[in-house]
Amino acid sequence: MADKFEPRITGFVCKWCTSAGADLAGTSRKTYPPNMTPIMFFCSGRVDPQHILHAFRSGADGVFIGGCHPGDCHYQEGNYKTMKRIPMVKKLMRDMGIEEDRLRLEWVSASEGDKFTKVITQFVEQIRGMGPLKLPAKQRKVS
Amino acid sequence: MREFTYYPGCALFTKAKNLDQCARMSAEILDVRLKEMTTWNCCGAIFSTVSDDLASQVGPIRNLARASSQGDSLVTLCAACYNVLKRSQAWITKPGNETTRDRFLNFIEEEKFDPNLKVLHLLEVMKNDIGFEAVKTKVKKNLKGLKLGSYYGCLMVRPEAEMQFDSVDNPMMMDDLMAALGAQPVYFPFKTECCGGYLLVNDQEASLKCAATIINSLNAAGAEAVVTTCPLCQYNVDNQQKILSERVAGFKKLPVFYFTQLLALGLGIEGDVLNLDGHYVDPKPLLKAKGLLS
Amino acid sequence: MNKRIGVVVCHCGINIAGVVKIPEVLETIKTLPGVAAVRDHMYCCSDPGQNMIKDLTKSEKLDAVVVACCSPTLHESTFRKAVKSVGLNPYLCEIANIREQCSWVTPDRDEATKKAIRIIRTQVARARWDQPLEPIDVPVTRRAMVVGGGVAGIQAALDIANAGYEVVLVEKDPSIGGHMAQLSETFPTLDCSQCILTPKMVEAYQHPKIKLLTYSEVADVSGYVGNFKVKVRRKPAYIDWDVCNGCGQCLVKCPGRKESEFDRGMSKRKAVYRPFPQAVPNRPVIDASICVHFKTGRCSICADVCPLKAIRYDQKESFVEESVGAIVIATGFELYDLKDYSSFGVGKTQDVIDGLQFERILSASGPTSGEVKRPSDGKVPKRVVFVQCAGSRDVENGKPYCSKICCMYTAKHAMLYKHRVHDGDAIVFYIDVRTGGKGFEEFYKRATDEGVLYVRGKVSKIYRQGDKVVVWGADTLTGQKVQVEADMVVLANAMTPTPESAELAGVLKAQRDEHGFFNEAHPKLRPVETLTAGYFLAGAGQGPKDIPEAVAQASGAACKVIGLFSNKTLSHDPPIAGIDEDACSGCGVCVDVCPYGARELVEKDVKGKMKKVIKVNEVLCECCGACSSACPVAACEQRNLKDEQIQEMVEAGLEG
Repeated sequence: MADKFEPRITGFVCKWCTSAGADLAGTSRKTYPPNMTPIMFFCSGRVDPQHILHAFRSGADGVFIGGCHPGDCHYQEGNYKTMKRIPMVKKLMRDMGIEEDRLRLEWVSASEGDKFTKVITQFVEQIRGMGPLKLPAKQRKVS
Repeated sequence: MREFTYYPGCALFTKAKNLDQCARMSAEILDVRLKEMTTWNCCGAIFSTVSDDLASQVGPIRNLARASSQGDSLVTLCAACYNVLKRSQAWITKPGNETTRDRFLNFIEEEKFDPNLKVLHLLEVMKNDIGFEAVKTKVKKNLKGLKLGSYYGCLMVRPEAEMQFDSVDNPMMMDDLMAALGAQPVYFPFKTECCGGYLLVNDQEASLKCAATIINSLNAAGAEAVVTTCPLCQYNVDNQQKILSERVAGFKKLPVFYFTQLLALGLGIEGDVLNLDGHYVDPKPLLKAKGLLS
Repeated sequence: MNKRIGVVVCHCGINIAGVVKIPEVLETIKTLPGVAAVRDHMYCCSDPGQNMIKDLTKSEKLDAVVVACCSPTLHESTFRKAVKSVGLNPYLCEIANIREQCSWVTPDRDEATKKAIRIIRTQVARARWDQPLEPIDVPVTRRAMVVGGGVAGIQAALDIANAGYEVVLVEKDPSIGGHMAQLSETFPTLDCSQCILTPKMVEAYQHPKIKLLTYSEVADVSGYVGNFKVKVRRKPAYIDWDVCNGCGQCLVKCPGRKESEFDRGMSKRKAVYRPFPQAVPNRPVIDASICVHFKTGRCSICADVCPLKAIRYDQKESFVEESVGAIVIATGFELYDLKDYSSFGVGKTQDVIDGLQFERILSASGPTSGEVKRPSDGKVPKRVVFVQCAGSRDVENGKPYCSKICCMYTAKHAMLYKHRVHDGDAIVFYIDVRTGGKGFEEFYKRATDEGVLYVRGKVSKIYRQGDKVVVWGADTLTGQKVQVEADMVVLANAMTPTPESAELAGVLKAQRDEHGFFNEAHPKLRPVETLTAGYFLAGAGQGPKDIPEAVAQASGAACKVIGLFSNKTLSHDPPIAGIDEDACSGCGVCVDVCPYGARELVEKDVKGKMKKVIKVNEVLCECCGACSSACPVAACEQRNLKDEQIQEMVEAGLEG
């Protein structure tokens, strides 16, 4: 009996908005699938495209990036940079044979515990439907 | 010549013939053809009183399905038909109702159904597609400041979330159209209050009260006539003035027009099609006094 | 690096341990490379818990500690202080959030346990790379700015000034005082509002440490806590306030007319005007939009009659730059515009007014000299309907929240109306009557005792019928429709933030909630701070509240400012982005990418060769990391968040 595929998702969440929104989801006792492991940065602008690709190489089936709404970045413009980088990364992903939809960028503010819950739940189910990322063994860096 | 798929509804073929025919003729002058659906049935206007969901929705949904293959929108004139068709469309296209919809389509033996079909009232077409400015240019008989109260009734605007027609308490679409014809719209606070039409048979006293409130308010606001779009409202507010005038001394009667009658009149259409003799409160003296009728 | 890392897992009572299987976590974490010791504790943040961490650090000679517990926003500083006290650099202590982002959101125990392990793994990976960091000392400008001159702003300014620090009080209107100056009496004491406010206004005006900038707005803010540079736009009053002595001669014959903002449109003011007689500063301004001189050049009555020749038609807007260390945001409120509530006939129906307009009618210095007369014809209304919750508690058409003060001020209005019109009928339509403050319930009872009629039900329609204003409502307690023919209707409109606060929030980059009120740092525990260091909140700009609460919050904000200023220096977070001069290629990409201007390109001798490299201003760097992700040669590493560190964290998070 095949086990249900459990997606593995790396999450880069910004401290001021998305992580705070995730904390609010926790204090409000919402529930969402545990498949995303959050890594907190000060700002979504810290997310380098190489981190995203490294995540896929290391076994992630999906990568989630959460930042402040445009105009609200605690560091002024970090999220605008993220906004510009992600389409570029998606192009790279396409060329490498990784489906674009495995990378998801969302703006979640500190008061949007509900939105965080909905978005993670939906993303996990979406990745589950897409199945595991099939990279050739030599491209993977999994131990 | 722009064409719109047109759903007249039963009342417009019987009691409200002039509402229908004035509309068609006026539309032609404004370069719009109201193309009647090749085959249609009663909209099921009493659907809200039936407890069986399937039975109450079959009528409107069959019309919507058939309209799907005839255009991307469906224009209607009767406020009741508009309300029923629009709400049925919203209900059957709600996410989660797909299986119900397929059940219906199977039952009525229709295959095509356009979830994006737009149900429109002729007033919306006049505002958005034709434009009131364009209407102004075609006016042959200016209504010369005729003081008109635009009575919309309840079905056009409620429930607000589903109808999204205009402001719920102070809609202006019909007022603006009448202004384009040269009339002077008069504000009164009962534009969308119930006329009591549905209670005509069961509880006439209640419906008289509703009609009286509306007429009294219009008189207090200085209106010379009322203009409406719903056959039931027109019948109720017009005919009940007989009893009201018998009961109240000095009751000032107000003629109740369909907006398409005045539209037709303004665009230069004359004759039997207006059916000015079909009213209880005779509008001819007022129109003659204004020089709008020879 | 052969770091000895200690991991402490907190049970947090049953908050974590009730879901996450702690023994399994300990078993797995024990085996991770670099982990020298693992412990668990019921409540790590407690004194015994902290002592356990301190002892473990000492006894196991730990190089880094990971505490797996609640969100870092709660106790990161607690645990960092704890390890610091036993000699471990606080930046070598990391938090793994296994509560808010794990145990509280994952009902399945096995899945929660696995997720907790993954989260701890990432933080252990992080700790392996962490370096000790020292906070950067930053000088503090011990001057404060208060934006908004209502009662909250005035109170905050007075408290900070009385502690010995200079305050710049910026107010957009010509006078301070805000909405409280418009009120007639205040609940629950029925004190005359201006009588209790004007002493404070005068105190603020005369205080040697308060610099009053009225008729001014904040145009630009740069810098960071302790070191803000604020550009204030001073609108042209067309009168030299240094020369003017407030005699008022200019006001007498001015021909210009406009609805008075202070009287909420119920009277007219002139082009040269003082908002109200007790204005502070007591100096008039000229409204160029209706001034005949500015429109046609053919009037100079005010200039001609002024005995001190203080009129200056050529005055221009000017800018002042203020250096301050903290900013208190006290922008206050405005009433919700009910123009879209067509069922209430607002704007269309005469004699349907809002609470502030009624205050002006009640006020002795108002348009009717304190006599209750209705706006349309000046008649004394014999029956007044008061509608509570006009736009509040209305999810569909208005604001979902409760505006807090309306129940109290409606009771006050109804009572004051009856005091002045002895044979008048006061009818209040309500959903609930909320009287939570001291003396409030007694005040409401007094209103009902004095004959104010309370009808429980909402109002569905208000319209004019001849001389009367007809109100349709419901009496839910008897289950009946109610129709009242009133002479006047007073609506209790919802409280909203001011329209100008939206632009101010953008200039300050201050966070606001979904209704536009300024966001406090924590709704329960940090009500006067914001998440931006150096910005504090006071008054209704943060949320609906009454005068006692606004004043209390203002003093609280002032206290935080004073606390900030009591430090010799401020300590600036050290995880800044440095520069590896060897690797730096001098491309300058990071210079443009930095929003704080913390990086610049300079010529420098690096290992015997002159080359273009980056110089970092550590005080300006805010640790966002934008440069680190932009650098093409990885020369600009963010301390304790390097690329290789992140990569190992990513890998750790995907295992298991």
